[in-house]
Amino acid sequence: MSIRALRKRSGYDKGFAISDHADWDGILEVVKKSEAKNVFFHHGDSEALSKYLSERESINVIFF
Amino acid sequence: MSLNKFSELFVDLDSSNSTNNKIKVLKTYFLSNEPIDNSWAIYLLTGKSNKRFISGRYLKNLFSQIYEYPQWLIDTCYLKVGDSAEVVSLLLKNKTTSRNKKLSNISLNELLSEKIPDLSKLNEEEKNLEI
Repeated sequence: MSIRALRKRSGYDKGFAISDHADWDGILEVVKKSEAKNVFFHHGDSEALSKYLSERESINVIFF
Repeated sequence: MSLNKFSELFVDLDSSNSTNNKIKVLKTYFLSNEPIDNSWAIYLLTGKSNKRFISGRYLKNLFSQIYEYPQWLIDTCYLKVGDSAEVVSLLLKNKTTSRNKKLSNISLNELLSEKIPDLSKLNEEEKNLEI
């Protein structure tokens, strides 16, 4: 909801992220600090994140 | 009045569906500004724009180089957001620099009548440094 077009399309005055899930930066921080060599993807919109981890961080990504 | 104040005005207008509230916000803004900056504000809010000196593609490429974001990732963001300037703006949200702070206090008049037109006189390297 930080994206203006989505907010306008839905007719909302204000837009902000409200979630108990980690965001992009949060996930990267966890992966980095845990020094994970493998990251498993279970569900969700994971295409960009898996590509980023694989290409930029040389981390093995696994889908199941 | 500063670019920062105009930015706040735009957010206030954009985040309300109430006409009365928008009128109130505009009135407060216009009463606290110089006439020349108010003229620029009206110019921008009525959808007028100067010749574009920087393309969306150029902005995204520059962001990608400076912050070492892969181009495909920025393109993926663009698919969700639909506007290049908004993509860069959202990605820059947590990246405040001393230069950003300085520019946020620039007047609308100085920005639109001097700073931005001056960009067209620079070569690519100088333009990148300036942006």
